[in-house]
Amino acid sequence: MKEETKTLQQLKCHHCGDSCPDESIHIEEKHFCCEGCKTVFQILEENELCTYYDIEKHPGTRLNKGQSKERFAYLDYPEIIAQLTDFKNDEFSTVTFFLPQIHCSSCIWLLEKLYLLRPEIQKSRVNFMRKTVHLNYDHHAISLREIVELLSSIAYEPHISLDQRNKKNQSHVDRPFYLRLGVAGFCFGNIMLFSFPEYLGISQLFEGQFIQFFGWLNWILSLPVLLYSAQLFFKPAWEGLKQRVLNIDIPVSLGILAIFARSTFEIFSHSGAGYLDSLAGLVFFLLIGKWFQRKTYDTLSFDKDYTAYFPLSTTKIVNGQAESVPVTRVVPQDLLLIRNQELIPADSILLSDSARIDYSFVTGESLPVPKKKGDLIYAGGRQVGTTIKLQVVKEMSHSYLTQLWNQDTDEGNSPDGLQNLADKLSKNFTLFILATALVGSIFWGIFGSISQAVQVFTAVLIVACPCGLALTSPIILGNTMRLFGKRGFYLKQSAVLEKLAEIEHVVFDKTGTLTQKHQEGGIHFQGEMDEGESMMVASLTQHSQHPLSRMIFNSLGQEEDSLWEVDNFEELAGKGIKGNINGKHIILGSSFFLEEQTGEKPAVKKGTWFSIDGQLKGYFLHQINFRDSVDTLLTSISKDYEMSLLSGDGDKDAPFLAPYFDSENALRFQQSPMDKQAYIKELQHGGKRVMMVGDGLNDAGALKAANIGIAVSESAETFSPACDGIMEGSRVAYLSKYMEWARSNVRLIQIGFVLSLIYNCLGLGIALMGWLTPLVAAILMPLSSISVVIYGMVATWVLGEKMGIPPVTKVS
Amino acid sequence: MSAIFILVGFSLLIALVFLTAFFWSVKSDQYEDSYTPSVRMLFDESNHYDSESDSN
Repeated sequence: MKEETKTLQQLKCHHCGDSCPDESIHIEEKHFCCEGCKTVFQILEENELCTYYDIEKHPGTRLNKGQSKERFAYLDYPEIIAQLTDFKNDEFSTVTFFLPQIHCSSCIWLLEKLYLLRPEIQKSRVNFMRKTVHLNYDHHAISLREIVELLSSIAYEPHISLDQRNKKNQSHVDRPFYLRLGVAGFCFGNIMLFSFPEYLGISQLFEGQFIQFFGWLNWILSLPVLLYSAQLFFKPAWEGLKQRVLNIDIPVSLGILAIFARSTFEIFSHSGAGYLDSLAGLVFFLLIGKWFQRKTYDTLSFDKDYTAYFPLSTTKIVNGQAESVPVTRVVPQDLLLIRNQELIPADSILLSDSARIDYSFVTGESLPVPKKKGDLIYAGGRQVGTTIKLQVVKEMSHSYLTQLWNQDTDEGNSPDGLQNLADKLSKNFTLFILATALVGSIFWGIFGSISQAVQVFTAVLIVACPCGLALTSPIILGNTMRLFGKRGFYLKQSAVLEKLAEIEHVVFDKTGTLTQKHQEGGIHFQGEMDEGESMMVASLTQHSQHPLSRMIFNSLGQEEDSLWEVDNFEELAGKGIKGNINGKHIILGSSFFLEEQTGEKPAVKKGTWFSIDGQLKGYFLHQINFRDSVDTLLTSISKDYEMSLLSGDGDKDAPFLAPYFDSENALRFQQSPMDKQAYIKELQHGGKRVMMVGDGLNDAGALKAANIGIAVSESAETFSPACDGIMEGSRVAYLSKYMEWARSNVRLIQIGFVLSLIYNCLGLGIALMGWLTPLVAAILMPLSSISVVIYGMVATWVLGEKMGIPPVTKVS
Repeated sequence: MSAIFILVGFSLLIALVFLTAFFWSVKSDQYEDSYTPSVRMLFDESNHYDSESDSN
């Protein structure tokens, strides 16, 4: 009985958890889906590493079989090794690999036990969030290639790309920032402690020496805050001044310096306790705001260029021998051997008789392009089919397409260099504050004493320090960015949110963005069609080379031999085809074409209609590979924004897409990557702020040129081109919601500004009256900061809930 | 009342110890990865790994 249920249930592979095709592959009770999984299990079993399977069930990933070991030969080249290793001395080397397969605690366990497989690997450390493993190894005893082969043999093949070398020296955590924050926090706490006698008014109880002692202590403690932590505000302020831009850091820096100058004077002249607690608190809170805004996504990379996509090595023919070499060594005149599914690394001439090149990677065209002997093949194409031989004409970095990606494009900055709301507001704010401080001190100078005038001047600067103002946008933008991330839309920086609110024109790519990747569309027929009519349509479409005709023909499934004769066949480009079969006149084409030909108006605009003897029969719809949500998406975006679509593909989907677009100009097919970029620039010259939504490398130029480039990706971990944001494919439907959210967010920030300005005005009044005691400052300053923080967190959260975008389930 | 000088000195000293501890934790990459150690500590340690892990 038990045996029976076992066979009835789907057999799950002991290693990876996929279902097994049959029971043939097994070791004792354990079944495997393929030889690869079995091999991995055997390796682990021999080394007593089977705990791997105890921690999580089916922890493995499927091994990609059938690739030769030679593909790692390039790892023997010293220059490649030097590029990949992080550190090397006489005894050991360290290297960090990116392993996208890392997904569970078993992975951590196994990868940190590599020393049991090969003792030469002295130590391995996994960073789970970043999916990397950091290895220390004895380079005398084991080569980098052997390590990579070892990892591949247990189904953790590292993802190695040229891009890696740029990342090498980058620490992901900004250490100095944490240290600055820590110092500010430390000093803030202690200064507060030493200020307590002053707050409580008990300072009179002590002898004067304590007051002085605490004053000096506070002054000493405030030095690290001023000289170290606050540098993060002084530097941008100074930069701003040099460029004659009044950014938000200027009033902040002014306030900090005023507090310090006034407090120093008070402490050393024994005339007061100063406001150093406010100084430290201010810097501490502002740094927290900055920290909050710095959210980054560990596994995502927003700055990939083409090198990340290209393989590290290629096969070169040297003296008749195939040899794996680093792509950087490929020079013009070299002979290359490109196997099935391999990428062509440099512009080359085809030496073999024929090739089929899949350019979907670079142009978005989904059908492979046939090439003949002597044709020029651009880098980035992928050979489909047999192995081909090429002769290189240009180095990789000078290729036709790579040059496009290397171009620098205008960032689309506003002319005054002020990009965010806070900076824009601070321009007027700073002038207002300086004016108020001057007027106030002149007033007190005339009607009071000079010392009162100085006091009022500094007090105004202190209290007007736009702490709340400077905190509002980091908190609101930072938190919204987190909420976006939880909902599958990852932004590079929080500043993108502000730009998102200003977008006027949205440009879509088709393949991979509106459609799902790697899924050929099907044809659906709506209407009535009998067998004879089906034969007629098949006979007609057989004569046309248009991709839609081919698809309709294939979907009908009629035998090619039994088709009928077509007389007077006519193909009208961009409209449709017609002809006579068995004395009947049949027309097939877009709804407009049919209306023009038959005078009858088709019920719907979409689809490819056909008629027999002037009678409409129904329409073929090619849409299945579009995302389910594409209708919602296009309808909602076209309501609020100008919209266009650029596709590298042929126009086979035009009938489906046309109804959503106002003009033919907005719907463009067969666009090269350059055309796309040029179109974006053209829109920008027309004064539009453009957002590009795309996916592949063919959109890279356009994504870069656009004010905002959004890359759509099936899962956040897969590679996407350089962009400002990455959106999960399933979230595209909500695009207009995200944009609405971003716009509402701007209003939230404005409300926050008003709130903090109220505090500033309140403080200003107090300062102008000359009532600003250290205690009042110590209460007012944190109160304004904390209330702004609370407001920002709650408001963004409420707004996020109201938007109704469902969160993605996995942890980001 | 001069005891206050000593107490203040002690309190500052203790606070400095914590600041140093914070500096050390940042510098020894403890903020690089805040997830993996929580998984790692649950594994049964089998052999020489303990002695190696300090060599950072």
